[in-house]
Amino acid sequence: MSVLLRARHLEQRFGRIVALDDVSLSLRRHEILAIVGESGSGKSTLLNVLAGFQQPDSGDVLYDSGDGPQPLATLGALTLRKLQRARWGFVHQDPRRALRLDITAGGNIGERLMAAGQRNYGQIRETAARWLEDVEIDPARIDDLPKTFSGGMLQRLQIAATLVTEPELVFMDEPTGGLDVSVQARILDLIRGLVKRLGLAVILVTHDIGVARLLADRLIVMRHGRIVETGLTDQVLDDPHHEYTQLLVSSVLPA
Amino acid sequence: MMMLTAQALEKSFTLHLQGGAKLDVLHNAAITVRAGECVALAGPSGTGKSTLLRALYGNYLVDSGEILIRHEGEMINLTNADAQTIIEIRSKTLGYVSQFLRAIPRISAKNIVAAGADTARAQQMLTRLGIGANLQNLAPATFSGGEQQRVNLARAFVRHWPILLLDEPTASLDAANRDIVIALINEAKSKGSAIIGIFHDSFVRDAVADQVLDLSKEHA
Repeated sequence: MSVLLRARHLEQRFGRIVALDDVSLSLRRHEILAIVGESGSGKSTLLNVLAGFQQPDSGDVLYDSGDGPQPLATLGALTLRKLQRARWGFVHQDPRRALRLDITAGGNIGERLMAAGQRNYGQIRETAARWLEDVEIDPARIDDLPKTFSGGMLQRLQIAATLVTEPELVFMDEPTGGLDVSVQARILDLIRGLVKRLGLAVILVTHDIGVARLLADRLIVMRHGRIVETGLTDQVLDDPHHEYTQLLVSSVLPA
Repeated sequence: MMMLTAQALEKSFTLHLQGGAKLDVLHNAAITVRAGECVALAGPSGTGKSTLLRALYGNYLVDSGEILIRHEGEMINLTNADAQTIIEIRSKTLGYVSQFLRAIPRISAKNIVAAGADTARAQQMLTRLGIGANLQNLAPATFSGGEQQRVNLARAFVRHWPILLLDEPTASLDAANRDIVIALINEAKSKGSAIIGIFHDSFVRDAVADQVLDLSKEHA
């Protein structure tokens, strides 16, 4: 399977803080890669750089849209925006950052479709209703404003609004971060099913090892801006080699 | 036909959180299994049976040595294969039944088992292992240890694995279910599966194993 995205020797500093220190990685089509580490390990910075929201101090990110790998930095703002909107998706920890709370649930999903070029109102509404059902929101609520939704429902709405255009790559930043444990399981299960069904490639940032184990094929462990360990998810978690990974794994209370 | 052969396996664990203590578990371990054959790993606890089994699955990373696996007609060395290759081998060639089921929230027993086959076969296999229709539609998180183990076994035996690794497949089963598992293992062998297993129950071991590999002797 071909490499979809590759990062080479990323460096990023914020003043005296090193956020990314010689980070290189690659992601294949249909692959789910989790980046784990504690707060301040640089994992969110890495996600923002990979998704083209932030320029690294040095190093580059290459993406293969089908015509061979191209550095994001050479794409130009317009092409990058198009890529981000049409072929990528981004699921934020806080759905309020991605959704517009003053337009309806259906409108939030439909807006993405219209941005991707769809014009037929009936079809857009139909697709939106189907996606609400896919994320287990009663389609009867299609005309409700998201501000009447619970946190878990908002997160599911964000997932629907992100995946409706069937992107090939989705970035997820702590998608279950702010939710109750009972709600988390439902979202994870949903993500798991959708990712498989749509054949998505995913880069997932999480501090929750259970989330990584459930969703990811491969794992990257970050500390102080560096990758300290990487490998198959179950191998890294069951046979951690680095001191920091051993600490992360042993710090989880058994259920 | 040789399905899996491993040589000169070394595996140690360095426990950084416990003063860097080093445990040497596998030393010059070797194993070979052919199609239709079952090798039982034996030896007192602590001799590395589970470690070897996990290493053969790529779940533990060996320090050195070679693990060759016949995957779609080619012998592939698991110890230097990339993640994608190992995932591919695990999805088509190499099955593994752990002692405990890692239950996934909300996925029913039937669907866990059907991930590797169609629903009708999944239901048949669960029924054969004594998981009745009333339980098949429930998520196994609340099942007893024995029931969870049987779901785990059904997931493996519902399809054909060229190589199958079994870690104590009958540990929490009663005699009736144990006999069913013995029958399933022998059926898999007759269809050509190469099986490596840890069986503490000597009755099971005698009923399925063609060869016993005593790891405590291997060490000496």
